[in-house]
Amino acid sequence: MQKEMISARQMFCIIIMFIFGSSVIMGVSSGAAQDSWMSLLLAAVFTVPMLLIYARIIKLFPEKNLFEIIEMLFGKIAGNIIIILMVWYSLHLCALVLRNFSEYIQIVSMPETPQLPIMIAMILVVVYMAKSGIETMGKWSIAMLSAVFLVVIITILFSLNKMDFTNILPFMENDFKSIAAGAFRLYAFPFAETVLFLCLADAMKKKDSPRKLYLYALLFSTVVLLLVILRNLFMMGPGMVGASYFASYVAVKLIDVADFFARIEGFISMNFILAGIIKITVCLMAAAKGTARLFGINNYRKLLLPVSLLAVALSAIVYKNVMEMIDFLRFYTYYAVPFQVIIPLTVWIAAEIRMHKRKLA
Amino acid sequence: MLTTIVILLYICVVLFDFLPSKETRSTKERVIYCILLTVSFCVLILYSLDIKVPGPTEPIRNVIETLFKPSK
Repeated sequence: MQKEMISARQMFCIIIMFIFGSSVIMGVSSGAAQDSWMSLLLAAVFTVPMLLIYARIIKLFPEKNLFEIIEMLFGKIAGNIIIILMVWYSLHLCALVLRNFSEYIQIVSMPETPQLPIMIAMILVVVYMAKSGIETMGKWSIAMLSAVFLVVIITILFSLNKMDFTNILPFMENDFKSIAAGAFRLYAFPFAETVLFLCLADAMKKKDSPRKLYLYALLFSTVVLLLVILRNLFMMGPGMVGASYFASYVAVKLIDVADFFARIEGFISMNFILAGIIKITVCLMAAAKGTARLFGINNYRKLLLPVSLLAVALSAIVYKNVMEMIDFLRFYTYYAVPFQVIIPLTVWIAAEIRMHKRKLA
Repeated sequence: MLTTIVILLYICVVLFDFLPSKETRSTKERVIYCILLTVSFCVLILYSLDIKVPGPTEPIRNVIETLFKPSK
């Protein structure tokens, strides 16, 4: 199979779109009310060391993906166990994002339509994107990132007349523990989910610096998510933000410029679809690559469709309703730790030991 | 209705993805493809018939609640 390679710029855009994924629409909920923005900044700071570890792993094994690295470091048996865990995480995350998407569509626009057809329609687009390859996804991300960013800026500009800047007060009303807990939540979702890019790291060129790539993407996405948090907060206040399932959608619904420019919440749906497709595609590619590696299949594309249908099946049974979906966020923070922290940390330590031994030899 | 959609979807997958590339796939690839397809088909058919299929959320939540007791 011919190896797919993408430029640093394309990878940068894919990472940002991936981080935006469901966050742009779910309104980056941290549970710290008007101090959410502090949680976000703290989460970004928490994420830096982990991203440096991810980048270091990529640097130590250029043009190799996480599954190849794991097999190289831990051998067949232990390696396969870790690969199974990462495949599960990719598949589960794919199902969770798909479910976020179908719940959103059902709540805001199609309450009578069952979720399954929505999921199937979405996954078929995702499979098409994944089959087209990561290069196509990279080019598409470059084009669409500007659209997503433009929508965020437009919604901020048009909502200026409705903003109440006192909504941010009082500062630090929540104690530091609540703010840190909110930061931990935002660390797990969405920032540290970028661990899945280790599974696509074989598409990165050797000369590109993964550290710069990760850190710039983190910086850019933090700035945009900060704008989103502040927009929602200034528009609705902490109470309403906390009570809304899809805070961004509700906030943008309030925009009304001179009784003429109103009802532009469709833009928000557009953002969700554009960024959501990238996030699901990345998860699906990671799951398919891991499954292919596990069974010794050379071309992961051959497994994209059955793996995607498995994600749809998982997505259909993963939650009973939207309340359960929102409630799962507080469990997700803990659930994601082994996949986002423990496995990469173990891989990194093993990789450093191996490199050290090789140097000594 | 949902059951029909699921059955149609899988017929299309087999007709347009599995069968055309059958010759180029090794036996192992075909077996794995069929297993994955069968598992998802069973789950989706049960879901479409409104039969409760246990999901992973409940056990994950129980384990985390026992170990960490996350705040509301």
